[in-house]
Amino acid sequence: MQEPDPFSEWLKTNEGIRQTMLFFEPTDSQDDILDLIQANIGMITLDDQINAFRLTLEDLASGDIKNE
Amino acid sequence: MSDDLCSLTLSEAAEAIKTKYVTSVKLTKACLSRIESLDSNIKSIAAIDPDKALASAHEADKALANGDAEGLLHGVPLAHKDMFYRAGRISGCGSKIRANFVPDKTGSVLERFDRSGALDIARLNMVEFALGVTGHNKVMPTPRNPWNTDYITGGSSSGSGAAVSSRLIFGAMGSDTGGSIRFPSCCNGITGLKPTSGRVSRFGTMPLSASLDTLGPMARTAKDTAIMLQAIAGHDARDPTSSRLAVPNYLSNLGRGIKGLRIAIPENYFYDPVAPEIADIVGESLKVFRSGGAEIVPVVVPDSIALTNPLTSMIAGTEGASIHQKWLQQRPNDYGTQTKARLNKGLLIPATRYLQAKSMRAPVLKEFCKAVFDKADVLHCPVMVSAVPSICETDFSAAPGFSNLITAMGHCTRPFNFMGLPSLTIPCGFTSNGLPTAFQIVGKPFDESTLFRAGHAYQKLTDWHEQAPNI
Repeated sequence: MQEPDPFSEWLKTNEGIRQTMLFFEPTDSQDDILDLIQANIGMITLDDQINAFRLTLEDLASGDIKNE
Repeated sequence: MSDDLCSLTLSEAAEAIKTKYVTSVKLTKACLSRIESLDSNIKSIAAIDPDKALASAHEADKALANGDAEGLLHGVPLAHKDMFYRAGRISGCGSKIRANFVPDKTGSVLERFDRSGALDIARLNMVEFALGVTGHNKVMPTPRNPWNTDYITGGSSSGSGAAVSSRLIFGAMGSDTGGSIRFPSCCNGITGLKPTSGRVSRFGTMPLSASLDTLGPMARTAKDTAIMLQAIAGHDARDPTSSRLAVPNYLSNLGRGIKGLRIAIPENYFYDPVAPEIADIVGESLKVFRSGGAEIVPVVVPDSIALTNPLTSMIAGTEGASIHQKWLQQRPNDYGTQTKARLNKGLLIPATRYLQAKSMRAPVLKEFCKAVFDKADVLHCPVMVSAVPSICETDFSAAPGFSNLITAMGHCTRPFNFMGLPSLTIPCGFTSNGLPTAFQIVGKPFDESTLFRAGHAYQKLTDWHEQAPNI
């Protein structure tokens, strides 16, 4: 059985959501916020994000450079 | 004679040692003597161990005599911003908080310089934790601009800029998160490269913002910075964000000239707040490029460029705050007021805004590359929007106005941190207050070669980089 994730459980409580909502725009929906946080905490590291951007830079490098 | 030796460029110094025209010991003694006589006014040196410097110079000379000196920088005295870790040596990062921090590992940049035979003779002063554009430091010494000691050096690689400009050393490393190599290069009349994100390993340096930090060389000429980058560029398993793209031979491309090189000049954004005096001087440099056979291509940059300055600030502030949070809580009084104010601000940025800012980097980059690099090989624009200001007039600390000053100064520099693009700063004249100014040439991702080629060609046709402060 999968272990409960305390952070996700906390987010689901009203108090958790209330505290979290303080930092978001009033127009952001609760589902959007949960998706955003859960997609980015514990699943994607900062290095992963930086590497994803680096790959974009590498894609945009000219053929000459890639073939050095 | 010793001052004559210090007037050599880095490439000339390396060649002089290689051809045994001069020994590393003699060069190092010349640097130490100049530091001893001049740095009390310039305040670029955080710490120096002359005996150790001379011992490593002796070792370098011995290796050369034994035929064991293959490195590009064999025996050449360098010194670096005090955030590059060397095992067993203090790395203070311009701060009280890390004043006694002794790393147990040597960073990749210093290891690679060691392999190239360079000497590391001093630690250089810097803005506290590399967070500042003017060069002011409220908790450690503030370096002075050698062209006029009442004026700022620019930051955050303030000591690197002042030491190279004063001919105390032949080259120095800096770091650039929003302009911290380019400001001090511009203010002190030297050449500095902010490389493409991922080109140089950041392992073993004090971070400010993992997404935006880059490490790059500061020296007298484009050729010097090319040699330094050659020594340190390339993938490093200890920095998983470093690129695996092959490192070209930066020196083989240098002499190709600029005939047919397409140089983009922006018709919007970059010049909007630029003082007429700066626009005139930077504009003059285009005439030089034209005379060398380059083609000038006007371009309109995408409107999204206007977002990059505040978004760079947001990302750097958030990531910086996450690194400093514990110290901000436990040792708040050990920070300078401006550093603390900027880091505290980072604690209040919502996660959504941070993630949205990060997610905009790739689309803004793609849009910019299409608009500019489909039409041109490089982009040419100013570094600073005004003449170098005095220390007094920019001494805001955390008073109202400090944020406006930082935003204004970052207008032309921060976009290239946000987009991760390489940029070379080249001195191109003096403003009416007698201080240097510069332009930057920005390239396609990982195309530092073309920047060096353009910078070298410009410096063959001009002598701004040869001007030395009278100190």
